[in-house]
Amino acid sequence: MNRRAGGCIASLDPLVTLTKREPHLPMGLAAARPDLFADKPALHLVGLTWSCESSNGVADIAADYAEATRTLPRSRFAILTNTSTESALLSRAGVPNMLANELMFVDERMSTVVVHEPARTRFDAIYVARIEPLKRHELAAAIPSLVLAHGPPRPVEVERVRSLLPKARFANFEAGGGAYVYLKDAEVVELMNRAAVGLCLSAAEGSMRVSMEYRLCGTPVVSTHSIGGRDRYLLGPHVRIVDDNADAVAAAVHELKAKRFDRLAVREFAGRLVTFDRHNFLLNVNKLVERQFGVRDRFRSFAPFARFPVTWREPSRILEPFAASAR
Amino acid sequence: MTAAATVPSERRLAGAVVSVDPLVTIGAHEPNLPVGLASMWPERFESEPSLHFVRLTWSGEPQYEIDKITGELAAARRRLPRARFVFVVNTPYECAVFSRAGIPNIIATSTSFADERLFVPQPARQARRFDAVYTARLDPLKRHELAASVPNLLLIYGPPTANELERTRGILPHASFANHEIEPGGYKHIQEHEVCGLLNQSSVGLCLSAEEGAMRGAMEYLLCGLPVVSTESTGGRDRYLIGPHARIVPSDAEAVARAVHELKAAAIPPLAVREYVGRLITFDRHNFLLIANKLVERELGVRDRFRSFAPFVGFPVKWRLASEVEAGFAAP
Repeated sequence: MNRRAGGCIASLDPLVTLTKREPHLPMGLAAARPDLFADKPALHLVGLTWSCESSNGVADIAADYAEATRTLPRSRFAILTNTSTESALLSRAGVPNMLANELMFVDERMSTVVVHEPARTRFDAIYVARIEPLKRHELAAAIPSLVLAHGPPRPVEVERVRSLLPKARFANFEAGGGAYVYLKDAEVVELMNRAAVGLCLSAAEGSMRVSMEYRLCGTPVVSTHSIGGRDRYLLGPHVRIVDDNADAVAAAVHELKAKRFDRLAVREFAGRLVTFDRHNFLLNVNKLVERQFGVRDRFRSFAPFARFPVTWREPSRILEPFAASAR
Repeated sequence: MTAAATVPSERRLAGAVVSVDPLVTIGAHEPNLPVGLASMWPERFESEPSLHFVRLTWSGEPQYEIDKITGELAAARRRLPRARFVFVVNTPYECAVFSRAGIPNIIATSTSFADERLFVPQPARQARRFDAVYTARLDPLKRHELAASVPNLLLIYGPPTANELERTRGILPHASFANHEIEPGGYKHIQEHEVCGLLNQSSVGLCLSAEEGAMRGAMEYLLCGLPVVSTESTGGRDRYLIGPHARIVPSDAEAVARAVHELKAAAIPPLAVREYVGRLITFDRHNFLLIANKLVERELGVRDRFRSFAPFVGFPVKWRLASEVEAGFAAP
């Protein structure tokens, strides 16, 4: 288990974990290190990395849940869904779940407003997304000034997207003088602050972390219709949902750019909704913990949860609290 | 499920036919009507597919409730094999326990259906007469005794039994009993617009039960711009009890009175309270529409059936004569 994962041990006593579901971690940390959870009661909250609305998604989770409850009878599991549709489908299959869109875990201290003046905006739009067909970069083709930030792509994919978007700036390659380099979080935040609009163009994925990071940076958002959960927070005057059409995307970008929103107003709007969802997440996690372990108000703040579920770390780092408690 | 034979047609129920084509209803889980409108008029849902949202009127957390609903759902499915049922729960916790039992559900706290046009802040023409108002049946579960230390209290309530009235008068001898004082001659029902006027004469709204549903009164306070003092509770009202105008206190009369005093002194502008909660309701309604449309598309094959929240506003939490609700089947 060396692959990175998103998650944390939110509480050692009683034992509560929160992990994102991955192919190698079907039921979170419980799947990675069942030995750690065999002897004592535990509650595992498992977030969805990808929408389970597809035909096999729910059946796969139901099978993994059945297997996990069989092998770890002292553990309880709750899937954290990104949409109510997922909740309805998983409920029908008897898989315990509750709505807790992962975008509420995005760390508002990392993504912030650093550039206030619209006059200092350099790009019409930014798209932070892997260079992959599912991200549908072609829908950004009609935007005059576009910057892309992305993970390490395959050469064939770069070539494909360069031909789709010949005028776009590829931030990771420009920062490396032509060679790909990672951009630090602060550099991506700076880019988001320099763009008038953030883009979300996939048809289906998870809840798309960056869709929240844009707005925490005060950047309005243009999104296509989508499956996965990002639309939960896509409301308000700073958001446009458009058809899968490059001209519609460009027109919405143009419209939102012209409005020159106060970035702090964009951030505050999204922040208030996140605060609301966090409030309700805490109420319900505390209730789950109380009903299972008899411990009241275990979590007094959201701090144990902020950031970790959407930050990729070595599993050994995630499991550090165990080692520390053993010392 | 032979509800139509056992439920008198003059009874009141909460709910609406929100779409005739395709057939979609929203109703409430009530005694004798376990799946809302489909229990009331099952024959109307025999021959074509339909989707039914069934909201909870009481906390769904107790295991006996879950067991009961599981049985009721199985019976409804046998009776109406072409109908689909989705329970509308008030809290994510209910979502977790319902899903473990295999009961299809989504979260949409019932107070988000309250009609924001009926409960509004009114221009302040004079100082507020009451420190606090409590809109609640005079029923022991509402724990009126926790308001005993509030100096100047107004009560609004449904028709009580003589015992309930006497008991509450004994607990709260200084309180104003609005339904008995609004005009001489005993209990009088107070219309919604009159309730709105009374709320606007009060500084703080109270929520004192330990367990119930999502408590419509809690939302009515907030929409009128009143800060709210609530005890800890089960049922869902705490969803919207967030922000500088809400205080959650222990089940203790002194703690309630202190919080009332504090919020009254804070003199938070009513429009600020309304705007705060209005934004949260807008958010929840946005997400309810997303899911309602998606479920209609999956189950009935029609895309973007609901372009606005309008068909849902008010009706799921408003008790109407069955004949009024039934008229929805004939709507264009």
